[in-house]
Amino acid sequence: MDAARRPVRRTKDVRIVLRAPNPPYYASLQRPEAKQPPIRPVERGLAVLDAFLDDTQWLANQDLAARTHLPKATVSRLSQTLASLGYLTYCPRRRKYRLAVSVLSLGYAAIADTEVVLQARPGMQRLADDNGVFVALAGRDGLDMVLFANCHSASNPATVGLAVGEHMPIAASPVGWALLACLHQKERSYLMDYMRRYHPRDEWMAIRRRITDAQAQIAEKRYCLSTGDWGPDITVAAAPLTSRARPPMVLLCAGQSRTLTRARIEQKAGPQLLALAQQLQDREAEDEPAA
Amino acid sequence: MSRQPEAAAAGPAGVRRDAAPARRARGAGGDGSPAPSDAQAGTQTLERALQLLKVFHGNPSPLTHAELVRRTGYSKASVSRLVSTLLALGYLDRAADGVRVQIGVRGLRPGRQYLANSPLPRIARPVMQAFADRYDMSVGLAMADQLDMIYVQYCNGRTIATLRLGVGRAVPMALSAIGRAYVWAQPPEARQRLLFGIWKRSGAHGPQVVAKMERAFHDLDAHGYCVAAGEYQRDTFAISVPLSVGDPPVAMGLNCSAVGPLTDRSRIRDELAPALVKTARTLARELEDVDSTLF
Repeated sequence: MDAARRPVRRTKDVRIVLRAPNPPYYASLQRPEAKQPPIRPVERGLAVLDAFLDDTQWLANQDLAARTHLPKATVSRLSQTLASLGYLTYCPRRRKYRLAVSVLSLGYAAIADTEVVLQARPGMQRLADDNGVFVALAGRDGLDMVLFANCHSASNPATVGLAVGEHMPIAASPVGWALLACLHQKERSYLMDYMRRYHPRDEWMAIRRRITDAQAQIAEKRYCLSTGDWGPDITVAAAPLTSRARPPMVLLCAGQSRTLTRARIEQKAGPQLLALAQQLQDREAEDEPAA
Repeated sequence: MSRQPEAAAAGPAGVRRDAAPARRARGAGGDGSPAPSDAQAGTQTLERALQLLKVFHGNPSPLTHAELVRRTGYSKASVSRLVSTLLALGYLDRAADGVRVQIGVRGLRPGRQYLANSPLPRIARPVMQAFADRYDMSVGLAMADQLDMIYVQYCNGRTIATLRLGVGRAVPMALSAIGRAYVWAQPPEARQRLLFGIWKRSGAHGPQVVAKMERAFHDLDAHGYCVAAGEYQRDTFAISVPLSVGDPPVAMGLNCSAVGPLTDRSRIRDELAPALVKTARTLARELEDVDSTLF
């Protein structure tokens, strides 16, 4: 049994150390059966917490069973355990569970309140207000990009409906392409190797063209730009934000193509985006020797 | 469930078992109907995995395996199995050096969802921010999470003196003023249970740790607040009061803190502590009718 759990694919010849990509969204498309399986009770317990991630606050055991595809007996045992540990609250009147305070201990603060996010927030808000755009800071989670922080513009009621913690595939938008562009070449090809498996050949060829194109844009002007990848008339500009002390991130702004025109980006939003990225990187470089 | 009462007191660190039960659980479980003992082992494995994430205290800095072994008290084999699972699931991530591990991004969303659903941080914010602005200090509201206090709201004063804390960060109950205030406010049996757990977790330092807590209890008995300086974080001091809010009431802790040397006792006694007590009262009033199952 132990032999079966050993990883089939060895990645040790990739010099850059990565964790095995395990993106939540792709995972549902193709189950990597052959890989070393995670400890099942842990996987299942966390899956129960994941079931609370959409709009419904209160869930009963049968809802949890339906969402996690686990047997009801297992689910009720897990939800009881999670409640006794403080991760869920049980309401006897509703006969349902909801997330409780201990879920913060899964690592919320480590991501949402890191130094870089705290320092970035005021600048991001200024950028958002100045240009009437949506501004966000994103990082990588497996083969997905995840938003760490976002700012909606006070001056423009129309904004992008993406919340903190939301995932999108790296392959799907300039946010991911900007990240790929700032990675070491080996890490980039490692990730792209994994990504390729989730796309039909033609589609993948198109994606690769976009990635190469974004890379060229970033080499030229340090940010990349695209319209239509997030939605029919949404323009996204994304700039990589690297530091030796933490994994790379991407700073981005997005808005309706009508207001966030190409000219507007080139003259105003783009330079401001870069200035903010530069400012954050400089400050991190300053902090580094001290820390 | 039978283990529930001691879970809070003994803490998972008290439980010494290897990863073997988990292996057995997977071996036996055809699909979903494992024998009761396996179910229990599975529950315990889950608890340990969650505990492993807790020892980071919401801190982004990476830890070595040895440090994880030390902080959790689990065996090396057990830690590396749990780590590999949490890495695969994205709750942990490899640090840049490829050896140490740090908190991964998966935990962001449940935390975010909890905060978005809970009325507590939203209602508490303006009250706390007013104090933070007025005295130019950081103000934190924390709830108990086993033997830690976990901040559910945190407001900074105008001049941001970077206290490395924020919403979602946790501090050990035993070492922080806010934790001591919370423990003090518990009914006798619960207080005893927590102290016992803390003693046990602190190992050789148990007697000192508990003695310090009892000194804080004296202050709380006498004045209703307690002060800690430079204990959990160097160069900072914090004043804490217990409070209980919502319906039915839930015990929490409220503190104000600042970077720098301890301000003189008379200012704390005459100005800051009474203001903090007043803020706690305001919070209790504002949250009086709020259903605390929503917290």
